[in-house]
Amino acid sequence: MTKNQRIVYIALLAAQAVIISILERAIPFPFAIAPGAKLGMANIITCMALYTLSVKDVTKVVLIRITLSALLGGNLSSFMYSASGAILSLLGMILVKQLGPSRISLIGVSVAGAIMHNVGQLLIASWIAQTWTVLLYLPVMSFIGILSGIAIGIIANYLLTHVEKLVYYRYLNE
Amino acid sequence: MKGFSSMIKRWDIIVTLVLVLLSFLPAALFSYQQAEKSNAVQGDGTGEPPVYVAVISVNNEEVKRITLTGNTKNEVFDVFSSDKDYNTVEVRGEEIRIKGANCADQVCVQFGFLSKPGETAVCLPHNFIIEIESIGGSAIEDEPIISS
Repeated sequence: MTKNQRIVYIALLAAQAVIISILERAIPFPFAIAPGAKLGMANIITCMALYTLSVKDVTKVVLIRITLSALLGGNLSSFMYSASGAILSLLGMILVKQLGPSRISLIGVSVAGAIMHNVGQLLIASWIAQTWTVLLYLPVMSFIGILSGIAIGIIANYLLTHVEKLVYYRYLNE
Repeated sequence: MKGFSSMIKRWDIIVTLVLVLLSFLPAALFSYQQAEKSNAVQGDGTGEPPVYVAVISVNNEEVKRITLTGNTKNEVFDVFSSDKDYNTVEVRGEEIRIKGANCADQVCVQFGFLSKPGETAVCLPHNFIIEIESIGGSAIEDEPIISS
């Protein structure tokens, strides 16, 4: 991948992630048991980036996404929310991915990302609210996180094995 | 097309299980702490069952306390966190909930009714919190409960 190709690719991924997270904001989550739960479809992009780009470039994609989606119709509290969730989930995904492709698949990586995202958000919530009882919602949230994480992992897996360019970039990255 | 099960590898399951177990950690710590507390109170010889109190705070300052245990009244009231921002709180018997709010995300409404100690409803945009606290025996006094 030349430098220009890489920059365009990063920009494309970030743009897609921003659009997905804005679209997702319009979908109300139907289950009342988990307040604030979302599908986390923007994680598809992070998964794809993780398997086709270097760690540094994945971080760029994620940072661009959270900054832009906060500017396009968010506020300070939602920015802190999504930033802490995104950063923790990125860290978790990078760590888990270190196990290597023979041991862990995209599904595990994306489930780890989803659960760490919840941890990050609830930590910020309990910090803002100055009460750590908010963390008691973690089991419910991670249950939802597992379900959506598996779904997102399967989607990202199909994209990475069927979109020609992604297959090629993944080959280059490995 | 491969089946879903062939995508899953062993470490996927291990990582998921570890993370799920870790997510129960705060709950476990909390119930441990709760048990210690009620033991300490019973050690005092009060022997009365714990009283559940809903504590409503705005901007980290307590604005209202409602004793839920033994409550039979139903009431609905608004709590203003600024000139325009409000949360409508409904108390129904021994349960309390945020009935409505004019915040953007409406997450606080989704928490539903709270009745057990440790349950929390948070409205982050308004910095508005309802927490259920368990107070052993002497709920009416405002002093700290456990005096050693």
